[in-house]
Amino acid sequence: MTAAIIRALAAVNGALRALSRWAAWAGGAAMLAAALMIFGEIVFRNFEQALYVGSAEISGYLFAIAIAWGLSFCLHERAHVRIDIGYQRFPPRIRAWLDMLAVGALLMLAIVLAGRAQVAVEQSIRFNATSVTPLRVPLWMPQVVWAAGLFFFAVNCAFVLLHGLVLLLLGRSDLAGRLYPVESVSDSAEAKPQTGG
Amino acid sequence: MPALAIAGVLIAVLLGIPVAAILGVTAIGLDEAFANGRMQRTFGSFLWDASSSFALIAIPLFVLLGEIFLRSGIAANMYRAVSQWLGWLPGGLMHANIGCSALFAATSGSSVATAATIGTVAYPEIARHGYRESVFLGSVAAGGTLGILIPPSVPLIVYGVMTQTSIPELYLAGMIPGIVMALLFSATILLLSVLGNGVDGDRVRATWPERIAGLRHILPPAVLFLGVVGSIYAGWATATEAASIGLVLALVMAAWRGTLSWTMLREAFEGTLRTTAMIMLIVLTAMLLNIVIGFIGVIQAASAWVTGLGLSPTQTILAIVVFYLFLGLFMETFAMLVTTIGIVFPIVMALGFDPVWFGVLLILLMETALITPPIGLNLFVVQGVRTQGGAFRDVCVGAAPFALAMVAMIGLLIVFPGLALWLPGLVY
Repeated sequence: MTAAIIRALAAVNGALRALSRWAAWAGGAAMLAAALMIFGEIVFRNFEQALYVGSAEISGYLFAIAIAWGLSFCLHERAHVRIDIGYQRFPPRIRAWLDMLAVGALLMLAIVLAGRAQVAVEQSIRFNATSVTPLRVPLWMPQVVWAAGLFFFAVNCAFVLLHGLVLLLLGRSDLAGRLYPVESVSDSAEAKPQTGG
Repeated sequence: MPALAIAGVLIAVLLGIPVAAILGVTAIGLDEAFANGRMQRTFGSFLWDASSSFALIAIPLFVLLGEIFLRSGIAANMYRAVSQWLGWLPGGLMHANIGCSALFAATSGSSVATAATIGTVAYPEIARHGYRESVFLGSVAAGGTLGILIPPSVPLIVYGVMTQTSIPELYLAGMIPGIVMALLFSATILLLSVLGNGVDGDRVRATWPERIAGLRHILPPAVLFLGVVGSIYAGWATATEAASIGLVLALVMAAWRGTLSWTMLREAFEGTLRTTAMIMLIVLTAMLLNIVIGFIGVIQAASAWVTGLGLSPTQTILAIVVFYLFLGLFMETFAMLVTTIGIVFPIVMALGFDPVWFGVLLILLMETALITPPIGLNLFVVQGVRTQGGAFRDVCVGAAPFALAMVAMIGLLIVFPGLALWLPGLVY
């Protein structure tokens, strides 16, 4: 019974992880497309026939959407920065609980962000808001995809939290500890070469 | 109550709660406590406007550019070429560490990426040529910090957006201090090699034909740098547009070298989203926090408190420098920038300092924070490339002289603001 639960949770976790990775690929491709669009406009603005595709506006939408959907990938990759100066002094069993506290805090944030994004979408629909550019894009269209990404982030946080808590309650803090540990930079400098610093 | 809030934040940090979650939850908590949740009603549209902002798109584009460049396998050749040019100096390859970092920094907006890339290539040379490991590793850690000073720089974009300072001007302002900083690092190496026994390794000999032949390996980063900074300097591209130009150039180079593939792109995409989404969540939550603390009057209170101290502008700047040097010992640098900027920037502006100059000063302080223990990201990165292992203490000791050089640079920038402001002054 316990083994079946653990297997089922791991399977769902794997599926969410895979989905997040797909979203990250799509997000990266969208940013590349945005760059090519912006580049195109720069090249063409030196010609008589200026080419207007609204690259600044569209790339903005793509960016917001890519980031919202990329947050879940960051979660699964443990890329959301945590300071381990205090954390590393706790024994592994406590750390597994701290990991869940960390995911819980992210979940709280994700719920607020997704909720606020939903309000923004509702307002755009109610007021028929369009962008103030020649494209006149109805704003709810990009915003819905953006808000969905934030909801997806909340779902991922909620599941990782559930997963970890179930494992902890089943007495498997060893498995729970592997779910969302602080990714120490010294362990994987090459695996993730870029951060903000 | 404020003491309670600060204590709560500290405890959350020590428990390893993600920085972004701390910022966001603090913003919501303060809003509930002091503004009856009024500010939260604006969060939705604010988040949308901020995360679809054209200026911030420069971040993923520069990160993607760096990821593609990194994977085109150019770093190793670049290192050999630079060491042929600088290897004869006392301190030998350590100058190559600095020179290569400066070159790589011109294609990358990240210090960690710079230190990791150069560190991986340079590490085997320590044993091969008999350098003192601590100083050699220190030079890699310090050289890596140039990544955020020499444009393109991700933190400068964030600073520009958060303080509404021109990013192109910030980029131009970072160039000369970046070069001077690299020269100061080299001077530090010269000094240590001449004075310190056993610091230096044996020389790498190179002939002139070899040096000339090596130049083509320096060409790719040089072309990228010219494309990015040149288009800004010429005044026909914003930072985001310059990033798109650089990205197209990097793609062409990768294709030229035959390293462009779907697998490579997919890895680059993953790396880009991992970094960008992480940064953006911190930036967005920090912006939310800044809105709330602005609304409930924290900024005014802090400004009034500083004014009440009766310090001269220079004394205030020195106090701010000391504050950041101290904070930098313990804090992750990027989080340090975004959490403090909302309060510190208005104070500095009220004293009549230039926002572009202050941006460069802040980046120098961030660089120092990157190599000061116990929390110094670049120290961790360099420790991470030591495949033979060794005590973390070595890296900290080796980086210490370079941290002093940085403090000297900070002093220079305060005494001679023109170091930062002269170049943008020519264009704007």
